[in-house]
Amino acid sequence: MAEIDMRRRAALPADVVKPVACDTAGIRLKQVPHLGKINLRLDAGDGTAAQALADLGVALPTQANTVAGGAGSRTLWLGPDEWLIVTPPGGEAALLAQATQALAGRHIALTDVTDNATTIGVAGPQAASLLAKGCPLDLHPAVFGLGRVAQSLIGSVDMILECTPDALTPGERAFLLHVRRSFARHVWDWLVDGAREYGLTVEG
Amino acid sequence: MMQIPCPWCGPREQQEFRCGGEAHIVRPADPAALDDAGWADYVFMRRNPRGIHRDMWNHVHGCRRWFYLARDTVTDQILAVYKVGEPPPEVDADAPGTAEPGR
Ligand SMILES: [Zn+2]
Repeated sequence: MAEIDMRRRAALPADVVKPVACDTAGIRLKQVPHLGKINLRLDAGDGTAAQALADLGVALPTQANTVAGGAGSRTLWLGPDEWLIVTPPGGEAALLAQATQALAGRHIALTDVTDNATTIGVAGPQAASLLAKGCPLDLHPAVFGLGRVAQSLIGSVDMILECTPDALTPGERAFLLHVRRSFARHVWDWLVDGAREYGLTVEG
Repeated sequence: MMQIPCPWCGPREQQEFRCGGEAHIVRPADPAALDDAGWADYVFMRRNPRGIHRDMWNHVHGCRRWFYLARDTVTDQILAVYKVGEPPPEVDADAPGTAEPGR
């Protein structure tokens, strides 16, 4: 993995994401800073482009509102010709260079948007109930289960919401909220406030 | 609150969308030849029917794509949804809609 520039600061400082323990927590919050993010615009009908990306380990989901995992990265469907490739922290620069080379000469756009958004993890048995307080999506597991993604609102803030497996509780859902950096503090405070009735653990 | 079926993302709440006004207004073929009344008609004058209206909508908090709706202005029932570039489908105000207004 590439070295991370230590001058880079997380959107939420340590005095905001202070670890809090709660034995009966319905909600577990954490910040997931510095995930690599590359915005991809591409004609979905271009099968050879999809193959060129697959050769780099980048999967390209064509079904709306879904996520496809590749080796080392996963790709979120954003629209009929738009995706977000998410890499581990520090992985974006190398992948961007490889993908730009692999897709050279095509009518595409690859843009590093790593620092546009930060990511907040919401887990725990009440995670969907908390999000439902301010999100107009249908979060029922039958509709928004593992591997689903949607662009929507939390409170009044734009977000990309991803449903992922809960790391602590096998079989349960957890959520990743990708929100603009400058809105991260507001969204964090909104989530902490909404979680009070459920009991809150903050993972530092 | 209405539910609007985005042609790409599926049904979503109205608050994720923004209405762009009347659809299918054609830009004048020869703008230089247009007089003031013609410009006023193109820029400002809009239909305001009691019944079927065709709107442009943008899924602004979702996929950010534009599309068209045929909507009954009395009931807000959505009668047809179609993409930019697709031929506008015929709609009948008495026919059951493609989507129920999710009240
Ligand atoms: Zn959409």
